[in-house]
Amino acid sequence: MFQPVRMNKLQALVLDEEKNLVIKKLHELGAVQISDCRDKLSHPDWGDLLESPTPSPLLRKITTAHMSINKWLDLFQTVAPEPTDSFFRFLFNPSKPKKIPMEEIDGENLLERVESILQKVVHSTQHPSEQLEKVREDISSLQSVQQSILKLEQIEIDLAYIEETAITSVYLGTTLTKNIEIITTELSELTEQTFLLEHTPLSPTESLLIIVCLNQHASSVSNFLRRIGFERIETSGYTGTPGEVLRSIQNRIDELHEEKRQLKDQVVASSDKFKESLLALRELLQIERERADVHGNLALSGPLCMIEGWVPHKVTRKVTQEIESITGGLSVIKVAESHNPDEKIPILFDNPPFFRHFEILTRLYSPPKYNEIDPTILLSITFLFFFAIMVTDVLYGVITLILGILMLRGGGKYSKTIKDFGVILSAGGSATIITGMATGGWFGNLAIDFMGITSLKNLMIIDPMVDVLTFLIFAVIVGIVHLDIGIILGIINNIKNREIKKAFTENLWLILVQILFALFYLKTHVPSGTGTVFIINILIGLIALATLFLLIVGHKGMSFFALTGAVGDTLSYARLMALGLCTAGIALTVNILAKMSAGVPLIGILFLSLILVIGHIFNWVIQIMGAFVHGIRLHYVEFFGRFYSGGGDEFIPFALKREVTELKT
Amino acid sequence: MIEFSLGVGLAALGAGLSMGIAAIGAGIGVGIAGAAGAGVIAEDPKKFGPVLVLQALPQTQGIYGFLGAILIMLGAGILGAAVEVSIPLGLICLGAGITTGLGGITAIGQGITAGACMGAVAKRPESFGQGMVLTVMSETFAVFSLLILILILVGAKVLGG
Repeated sequence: MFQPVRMNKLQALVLDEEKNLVIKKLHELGAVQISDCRDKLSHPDWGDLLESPTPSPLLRKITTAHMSINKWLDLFQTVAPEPTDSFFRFLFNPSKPKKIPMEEIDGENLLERVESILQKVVHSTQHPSEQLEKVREDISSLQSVQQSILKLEQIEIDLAYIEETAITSVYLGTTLTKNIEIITTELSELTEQTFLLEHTPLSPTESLLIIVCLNQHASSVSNFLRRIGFERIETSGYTGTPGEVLRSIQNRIDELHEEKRQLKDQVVASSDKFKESLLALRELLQIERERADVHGNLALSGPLCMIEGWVPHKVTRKVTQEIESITGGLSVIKVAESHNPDEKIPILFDNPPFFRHFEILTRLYSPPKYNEIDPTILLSITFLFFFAIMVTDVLYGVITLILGILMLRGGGKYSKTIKDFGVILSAGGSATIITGMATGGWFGNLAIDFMGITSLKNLMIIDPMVDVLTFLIFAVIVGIVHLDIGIILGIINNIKNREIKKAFTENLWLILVQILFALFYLKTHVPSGTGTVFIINILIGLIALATLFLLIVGHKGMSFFALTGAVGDTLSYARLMALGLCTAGIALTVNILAKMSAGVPLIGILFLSLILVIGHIFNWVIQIMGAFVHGIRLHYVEFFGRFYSGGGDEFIPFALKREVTELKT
Repeated sequence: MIEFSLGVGLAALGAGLSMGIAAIGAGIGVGIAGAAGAGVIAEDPKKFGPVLVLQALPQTQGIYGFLGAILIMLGAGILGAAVEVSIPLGLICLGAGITTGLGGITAIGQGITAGACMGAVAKRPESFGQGMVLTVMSETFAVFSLLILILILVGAKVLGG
């Protein structure tokens, strides 16, 4: 709590021949982040003792097998795609992920199994898939020809006649109508007036052209036509009129579609038979690959292998015992906390179960450094408070709570992110119900003023639409308290890191300013000329001097900007009041519009209902989003700026992940 | 028919300008940031969270404009209990409203910065915090505008008088 988990640096020397067993055990434990030992090779203390690691002999075979499986799975996904949940289904009622039971199999045995399955897949799927691809290409090609010959539909010439002869060349194609004159003129020159040109319009701008010329002029005519943008239509090999050719092409396309359907059925049958096995084997190969990849992070020293990494303090004993057990005691293990300030120690959050769901908000900014305060707990409490102030309506809170619960019980079962947001919304909704009661927000003033449930006023502490100034002062005071918490945390952090000067000169002056204001206020309520006033004046003088001293020492030439920055940060919290007021104001507007529409004869009640439902849902959506974004912004900019820098690297354990398979027991 | 004095009318104008001009600035700023954000999430939808937070930052000036308008309306009796508002007082409210309104135009600069920081976050997600700090720099002057509005209204006894 308030600090990441204590980490120990683990260094283990094991026999090279046993490293695979150790790697496998560490992978199963999932408790160690393995570091890269290769940087030690250039270290003066280690360089002479260590050698470069050897890659796993299985790595290449695993990679090849993985690629082959991916190729077949991609084909199966194209031909028989797996249905996926829609967005709302994914959030509220996701399909249960299917787990394929698999026995434990690894290494060469796994590769043999993969090879065997792939052979069966190739035998049943290779030919139909190749044919399927060919049929698709043929269909595409025929459709392209069909599009071209469609332009010839109106001419009734046998296409067999539109062919080159021993003497003549024929050009059939389309061009812009405006170019016909130019073509005629140019061809006259090129062919010494020995050519035939006929044209017919296809559209206002495009015409079909047929040109016949002598073979001796074919080259120059061809070049010219290419330059002028003449689109030639190839008809060689076709006999019959364009209409007849189009019919025969269509028949052929229909035959190919039928052939495609049959081939696809064969591939789908193959997919039904092998897909599950391939998915399971792919996951096992991925596990093997991760284990093979980690070889590159180790270092060798003769018959020994060095494994280095980070392990959380609370599981260190278990990890060392497991390594000793698997190596039969033939290992040397060193575990120690690192006190090197330059070392980047990975961080693992350590928060109680409820607050773990808010770690996503800390991560969004940046995880803490190892010796830094983890702000998650404080952030979650104040974030919920700010959220509730900005939404401040009981019924909006109820809707938010229901949404949160639906997400928790729905998508939250299988997705950690949805679960986290489910908890955040549920907690935010609950807090909003309380603040809503305090401000009399029940879909704005719908319940109290419009429906006349005036007993709800007994729960009210403040009416934001009436006591606006009070609400503003409250928001600013909340901001000052929030900033003070941040300043105190900053002081504690700096003292812990032995930066004493920074602890007292950075932000303490702002707390002293508040004490000054308090003393000034107190002075106005004490009878003048008394000893108390004298003492207060002395205190004011001393604290003012101390404030000025700390401000100048801590900020030097930037003292003025430190002052203005503090004013800006404090005023920024006025948004709590502004957004709270917005919620109430928009809800009030919706209710007024609904009441006005109720006066319409016959269908007034329908309009009333529509306006209320649509208006309040709209208001709820924008206020929730606004409260979330501005609540988190106040933390990231104003609060974190006092004590938190982040920049830590999260602990990523070398852990086995099974998403598709489960071990057969 | 309710009679309103010219002073109240000028105050209402001030409130309207406070919100209206600030809304233009905030709207443009958020729009510029949003355009950049669309490009980022087209490449990587997982960046939606940081992009949304950065896009929301230029909204602050709109909130300040809204706050300024509310304070003017309160002080001039447009909201809450009616008060006597002379023409000079109405002009004071008008001046105060123009301050926050024009201060809201800083949101355009903030939106440009937010958009650029989204690009930084797309390449280096760990720069999100620094990006936020860069983005909020423009807000300083909007805060000064809000502060001047408050000082004007308090000094002229429109508020707290």
